[in-house]
Amino acid sequence: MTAIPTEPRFLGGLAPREDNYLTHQAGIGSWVFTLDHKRIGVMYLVAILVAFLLGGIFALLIRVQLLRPEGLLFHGSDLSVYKTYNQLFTLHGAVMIFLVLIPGVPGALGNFVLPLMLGAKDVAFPRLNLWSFYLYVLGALLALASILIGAVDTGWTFYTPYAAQTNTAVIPLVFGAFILGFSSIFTGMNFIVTIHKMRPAGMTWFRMPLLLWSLYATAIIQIMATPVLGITLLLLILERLFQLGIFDPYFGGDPLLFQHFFWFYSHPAVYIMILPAMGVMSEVIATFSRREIFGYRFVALSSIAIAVIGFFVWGHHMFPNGQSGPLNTIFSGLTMLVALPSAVKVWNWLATMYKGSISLQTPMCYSLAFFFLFAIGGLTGLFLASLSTNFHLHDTYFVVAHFHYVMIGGTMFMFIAGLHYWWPKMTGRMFNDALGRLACLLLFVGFNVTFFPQFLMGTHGMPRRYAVYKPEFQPYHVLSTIGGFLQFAALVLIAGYLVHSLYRGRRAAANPWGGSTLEWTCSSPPPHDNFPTPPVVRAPYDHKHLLWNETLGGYEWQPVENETR
Amino acid sequence: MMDMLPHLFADSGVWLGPPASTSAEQHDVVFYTVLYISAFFFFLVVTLMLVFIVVYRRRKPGEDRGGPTHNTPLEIIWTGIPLVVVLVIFVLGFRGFLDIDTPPSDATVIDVEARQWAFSFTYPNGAVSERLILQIDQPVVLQLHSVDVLHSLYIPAFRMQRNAIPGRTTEMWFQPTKLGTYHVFCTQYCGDGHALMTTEAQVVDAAGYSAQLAQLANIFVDPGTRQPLPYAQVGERLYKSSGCAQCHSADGSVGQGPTWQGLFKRDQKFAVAPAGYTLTAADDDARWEEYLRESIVDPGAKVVQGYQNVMPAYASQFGGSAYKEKKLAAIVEYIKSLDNHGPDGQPKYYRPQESPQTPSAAAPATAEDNSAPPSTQGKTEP
Amino acid sequence: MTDATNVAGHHDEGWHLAHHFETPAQQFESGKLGIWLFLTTEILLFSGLFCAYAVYRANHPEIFAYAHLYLSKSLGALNTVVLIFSSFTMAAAVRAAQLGQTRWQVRLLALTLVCGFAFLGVKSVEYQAKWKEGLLAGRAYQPAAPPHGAVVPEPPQRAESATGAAGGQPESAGGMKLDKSTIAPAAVGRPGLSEKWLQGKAAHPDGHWVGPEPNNVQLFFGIYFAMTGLHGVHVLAGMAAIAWVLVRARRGEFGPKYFSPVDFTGLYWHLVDLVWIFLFPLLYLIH
Repeated sequence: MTAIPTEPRFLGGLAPREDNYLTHQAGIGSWVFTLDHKRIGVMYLVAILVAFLLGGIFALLIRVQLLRPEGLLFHGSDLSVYKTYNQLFTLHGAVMIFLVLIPGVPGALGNFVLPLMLGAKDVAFPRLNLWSFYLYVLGALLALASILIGAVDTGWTFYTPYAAQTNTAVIPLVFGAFILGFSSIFTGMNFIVTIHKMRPAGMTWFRMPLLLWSLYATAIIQIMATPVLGITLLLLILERLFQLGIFDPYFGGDPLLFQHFFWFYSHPAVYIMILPAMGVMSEVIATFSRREIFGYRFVALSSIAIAVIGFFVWGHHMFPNGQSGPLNTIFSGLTMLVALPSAVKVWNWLATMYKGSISLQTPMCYSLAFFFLFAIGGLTGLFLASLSTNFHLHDTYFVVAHFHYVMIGGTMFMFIAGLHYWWPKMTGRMFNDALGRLACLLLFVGFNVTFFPQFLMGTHGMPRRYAVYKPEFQPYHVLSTIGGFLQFAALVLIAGYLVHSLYRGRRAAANPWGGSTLEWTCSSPPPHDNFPTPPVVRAPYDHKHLLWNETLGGYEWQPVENETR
Repeated sequence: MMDMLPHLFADSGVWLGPPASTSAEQHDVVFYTVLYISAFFFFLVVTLMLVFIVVYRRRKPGEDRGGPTHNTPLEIIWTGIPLVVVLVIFVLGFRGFLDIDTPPSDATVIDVEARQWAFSFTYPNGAVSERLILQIDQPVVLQLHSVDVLHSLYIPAFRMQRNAIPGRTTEMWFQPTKLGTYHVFCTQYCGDGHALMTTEAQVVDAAGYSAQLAQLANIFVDPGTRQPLPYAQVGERLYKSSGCAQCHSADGSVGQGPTWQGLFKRDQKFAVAPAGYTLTAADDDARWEEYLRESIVDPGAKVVQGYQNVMPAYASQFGGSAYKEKKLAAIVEYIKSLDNHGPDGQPKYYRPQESPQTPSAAAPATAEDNSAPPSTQGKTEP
Repeated sequence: MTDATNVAGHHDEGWHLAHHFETPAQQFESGKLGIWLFLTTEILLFSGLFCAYAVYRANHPEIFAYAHLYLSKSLGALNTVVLIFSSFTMAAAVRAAQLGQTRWQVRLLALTLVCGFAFLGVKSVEYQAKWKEGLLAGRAYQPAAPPHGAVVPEPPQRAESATGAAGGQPESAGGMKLDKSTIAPAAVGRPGLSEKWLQGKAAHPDGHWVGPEPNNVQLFFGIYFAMTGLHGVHVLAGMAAIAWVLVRARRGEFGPKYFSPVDFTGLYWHLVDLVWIFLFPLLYLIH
């Protein structure tokens, strides 16, 4: 055979080790043109983390501005000075939503894990997968270009007529989002076909791991909702280029129609963000409680229910915006219903922990944080779904706090949980678990200090998207900014020990956590073609035969014959 | 712990300020109901979680406790109870909504015009104000429209907001129940000045309400002495209330629009103007006044070099009736009065306390005009 | 399996089993599911425009009743026939590929491509006519004359410079910032076809429209250009795909064992045809 492969230099070691997907081929070309879903997943991960850093910097600048009622960074009587602030919150939203949250779990974690969990060699369309990634990069570059040309100041929601009139670089940013939509659609197509057609023998629908149910439901939303965003953004571009007049009241158009089109996508989009996170939650809770997920079928079908009902509630973003009363009522009622499948999941996860054997390693700490934060996020949604209270809270900081609780407290916390959970699999290294738990605590505290005061601000009437504000709100804003920097510190700590683990981390066993799904049966990192021999498919979440092996430093499947009970 | 939070708002709770309208009081009942329900479920989830991680912690690797894997009756219960709860919340919210969506037939109608970046309220007697003046215990319907982009009128104390949409009229109503002054915010992002698009709602008693409205109906008359006010003084008030002050300073400082200090009869250079048009210090008053009037009602016609063509047109506010044209004249008078004094301390061009320059002589007098109709061309000397 | 004779003497050469699939059947079925999912996304893309059409037509049928008279029904019908015929040739090409008949594959694909060019040719004729007659969207709507079949009492008032809205204020010399405080409601009177219109129609049965030009006719053209333009882009993309498949067919890559690229391109082309079959009556055949 060829020479013993050595570890790539960027992973810090020259020690010989087994051939794996990272060492299989060397050189930048082997990454740029790779068709390996694992490498594509890693590239997505790096890109998404860079975008997260950028969006986070915008957020910190916003919080610094809001330390003073008259504005710390931007102040004065010349109104154009606030344009920069408006650009900051627009870009913070656009980057975080389109470049981090929507591609996040499916792109960075799903791409890596899904075929492994299925015992497959790759996704159904590897070349389409690579296209997905490059479309992501193209969309991201267009968004960056728009920042350099004349950063958009419309809010990430691009409401007309302002978005049709403002003389900032709306078209590059909106076109970038259009391209990113295709990236999302192609990922969705890939996942649906892979799950339909490439399940191994013995893995029926109801024997699939729950992450796959979540990714499947997410993929359905991706292909059904994203095209509507596509046409909306296209029409906005035409509106700006040719004054098409569809949304401009001056030419007989209807600005409210834009809002309907926009939210028809953007509400299901939030389920694209949360469903994969809930899938990760199922995996982590099962593994770290050493239990089957309680009520498997209910959890699986609740993902589909959320995806379906989620298409019918978009109007709750528009209650005071001029919609008719009957329409408001229908949307309010349906929005109440969409809360139920999420509640069902929470009860089932708690029941999974009942009589489990719970180990509080880092991924599990994030899951506990999820219970706390998603409960708050979800319950505050009820205030916004109710027609009476919405007219008070709409477009105030209450809404800002609500969606950050579900998007960060829900999606990002589980993204980080998943990153830690599959880190040994992806890199072959263990990170420092004590630091992991400390960072989780710091992030959790920082997050609550940032966003809980925002609920109180909102109920007292502080509007959102304000560069300056009335002095009585200052104490809340100061608290919020302090929390923001605490979160930043926590994230720096996480980045620190994870990067350190790449160079100095203990080598990981194939199954360090005791996970029962198929990705834990191959080596850490996996070989290039995942499974040299097709893996044996068992019932999901059967932990009974997974026993700790001290020499290996991981869990091992004990054959059934040794069972004495 | 509640006491540690600074007392930011007088008489306010942790969550809400004092309600100041009938629907605000109803809203608060719904709000606190949902809050207590949410708090219950939150504490339930977190407590169960904490209990489980203690009681069922892993004591040695590989241990199994053999818990249940499914229980359909339980699933039905914990789906059914939240279903009932959300339906209750829905009904509460819906009933509150029915109330806020149906204004009483005897409500006073106030027209609200939203523009970048100020609100303007027009009362039934024709008075116009930048503040919302309300009579206690009287229902009011606001009819909102916008002249440029989306805006939204939000009064936290009344727990109410509604978007103002260009090309449409939207409505909201409330009945104030407490005297006081309350914040009014714009809550639909509308551009650079969104955060400054704030004003006040003043709830006063019946006497105060009638007095203020009468005074607003004709701002050219001093409310105390019933004597006519100098046009420049009225102009200064309009300068502040019509949004001019946001972009044009009166003291020379730089803004989005040229400063008004010393503007009258200062050589102008134009970036946009009809071919051959010039305006210099040597031009006569009439040409200057015409230019200033045009700049207010059709600002895009001539744009001064170094500035952007971003000023909204004020044609509807200052044109279309003799009263509105008087207001336009008042603003022009105010501009003329700004730093136009010669070295001897006397006004260089005219004395602003004297009779004003005139708009079109053909404008008919209306009942609103308490002062004499404007005389024809030319300034008068004392 | 009989080997049909063909140009180069071989077929099925384009096929190989991808490394991540277990069986050829799995590969084909995956591809098929994939293209159907993609077609679903295309349907949803167009559905936004159909929705905008429905909303505006429901609120202002007079705009559509008037403005569609500007469109040429015969050219639209011609395009419809061309596209339906091209769908037939495409389906036949797929059949030829399944049978390994290389010569017929190439002919039929080329014929489909020709139909595509014909469609785009007719479209460009229509677009050129619109441009010449000033029938464009938004601000650029400056019609030279009322449409055929409309009896319009007097020509509509229009300011000397381009304004699109009814009661439009004159534009300032800078070409910007109209007085938006006078935004007129979108149509005169209640939306819908008025009594007067119906009376006028009874009096002039040959005139499809009797009455003044409705406000905001430019809305129709906004929708028209958005819908037909997006459809045209898809026709172009379909033609590119067919051309590529044509090149591969000439090389003899397709046969009974492997014809999925032809099959999938055919499915896409049928969808493009289907969208037009909806567009044509909605835009051209309004009664």
